[in-house]
Amino acid sequence: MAGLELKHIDKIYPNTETKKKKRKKGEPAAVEPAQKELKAVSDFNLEIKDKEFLVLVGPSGCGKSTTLRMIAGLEDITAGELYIDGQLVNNVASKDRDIAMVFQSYALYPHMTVFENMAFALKLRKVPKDEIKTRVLEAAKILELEEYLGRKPKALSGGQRQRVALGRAIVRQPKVFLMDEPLSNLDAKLRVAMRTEIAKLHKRLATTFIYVTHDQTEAMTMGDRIVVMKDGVIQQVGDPNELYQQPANRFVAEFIGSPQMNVFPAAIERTANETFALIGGKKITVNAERAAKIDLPEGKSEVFIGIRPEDLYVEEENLVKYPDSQIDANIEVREPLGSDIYLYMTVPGVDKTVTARVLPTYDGKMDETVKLALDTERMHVFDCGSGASLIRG
Amino acid sequence: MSSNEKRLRKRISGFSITTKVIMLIATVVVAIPLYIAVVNAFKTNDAITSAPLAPPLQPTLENLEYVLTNPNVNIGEMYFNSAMIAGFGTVGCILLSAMAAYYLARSRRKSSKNLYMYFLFGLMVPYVIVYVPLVTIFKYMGLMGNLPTLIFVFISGSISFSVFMFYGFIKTVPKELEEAAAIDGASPLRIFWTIIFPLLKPCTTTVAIFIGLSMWNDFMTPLIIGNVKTITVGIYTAIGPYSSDWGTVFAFVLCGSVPIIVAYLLAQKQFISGLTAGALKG
Repeated sequence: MAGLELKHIDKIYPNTETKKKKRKKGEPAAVEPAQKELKAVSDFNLEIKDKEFLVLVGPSGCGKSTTLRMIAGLEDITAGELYIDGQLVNNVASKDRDIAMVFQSYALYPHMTVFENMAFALKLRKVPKDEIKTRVLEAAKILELEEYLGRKPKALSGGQRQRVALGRAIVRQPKVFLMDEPLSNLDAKLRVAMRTEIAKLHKRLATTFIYVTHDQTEAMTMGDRIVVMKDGVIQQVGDPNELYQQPANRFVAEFIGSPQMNVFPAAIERTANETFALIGGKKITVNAERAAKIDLPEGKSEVFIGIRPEDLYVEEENLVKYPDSQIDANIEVREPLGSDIYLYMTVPGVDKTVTARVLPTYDGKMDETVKLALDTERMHVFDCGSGASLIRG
Repeated sequence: MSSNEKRLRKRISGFSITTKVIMLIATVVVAIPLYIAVVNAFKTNDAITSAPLAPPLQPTLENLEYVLTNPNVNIGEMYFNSAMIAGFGTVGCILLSAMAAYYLARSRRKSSKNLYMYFLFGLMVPYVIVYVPLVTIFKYMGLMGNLPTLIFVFISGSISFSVFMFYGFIKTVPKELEEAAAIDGASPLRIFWTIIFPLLKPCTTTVAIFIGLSMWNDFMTPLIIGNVKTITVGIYTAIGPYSSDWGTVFAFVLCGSVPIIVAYLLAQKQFISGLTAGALKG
């Protein structure tokens, strides 16, 4: 069990395969750097507490796996310091970091049985045979793998293989568990089941877990804290609720939540007593409490407004609650899900489809123009240029 | 039976009649020399010269008896030499080339790519053109006429092909396996022997059969460089400038072929999976 500290971590890949440009006769050679570099992770600062379940989430190429691999010792750290349990481990080999990793592809040794796979690390550490047996059987019991110990990985299903990969990590009793998209290869149903299993495992083992995923649902449901990354840079660190309710910028707002937050251009107008938002030429009143939190830069009115699908209303009983913040919308697609209905709508003057999550009893038809109310108390406002949230506090 | 083999068999069963006829003709063409060797090994010289393709109507074991028991022939020594060359040559070549290919396949250095190209270049050099320089060098160094020199020549001659085969195969082995083993605590050498090398089994078998066969069958190298009597050199002893003892020649051919055929039959499954590995998407 251990905490981790990542201080100003950078990861730069030298790219030596830049093709030379063909130049015409007499044309001077283009002045180009000898090597073009790729900065995969930039100034990564984070403290991970002991026994914490931390999730790194972001789109492909955001640097989350690279960060995990640097923690594992599979990638060199270009700059910065990495501490595990207070010890600087930048130059410590993977095997000496006391970590265990679960890979997306499981990485089970195909020529070894389940038992041999799980016992491999212990054998290398010259653990006595009896203890190896005890620890493997114990892990197998936790993961319900007892009857498969004699099988080779190819004779197992995807879920069973995933459990073996987890088992291989458990028997090591490491300080930190690293998981690199471990559920990506499983079907949707199994993924949900394994999600719960991993959460249970974390509770049972009470060890630090660092989990990488591109699936925001996984991140939200599993993590104590979530780190949202983009282009190698941390966008926001916080618990799931904080990320959902108070996104630091437009990227986090759109990345977290399903269906994703509606974001569209608007203008903010302030009078002595009221604040208005102009959406597609239509003026709506912004809730006074929320308006007080909008930190609009001097002389700037153009912003992006964000509103979650569940904060949009079309039902009569809800429309009456928001008489001053209604716009017209045309229902394009209606998706009944049983528990809710997703409405995909067009709003005059807004070039993006607006999604609303409404009550399952709602009977609006496709191509019908309806009134759409915005709960402006829960509205988000983002800077047009940087995308940073303009809501304070 | 692996799924690859199953698919391959399914594909073969789906071939048209024309393809099957062509395949049958090809099989016959390949089988004819073997047939000639087998039938003539059991015939007298007169019977061979009068009807070389006819089956042995009055079979005789004289030729085989002569080859196997005559102390002047000493087939035991020939078998020993051939086995030493093919055995040590194959094992040595596989060990060296598998390790070299592993490094080359995994290294990110540009020099490794150049080194791999250098290995590939070896495939383009016809073997016969290196005999003269090799003999000159070995003579100068006093290394002519012994078994270890011969094994060394065979290893160096086969290493290009072997590296080429292993390199391609290792590229298909997921790197995560090595990373998982490294985290588990294995050293690079241990990762290679415990994790990677067992996974190369189909490729190793294919390489072993290809290079083992070429070493066993090679005639020129042991004759010129080694001055060592192998089975193939033994055949030559039965061929004179004015007359040849064809019965003995065919008996030698048969004796020389049997170990290879047995080895192939034993490793056939691995051989086919080695050839088809990567050919079909799994």
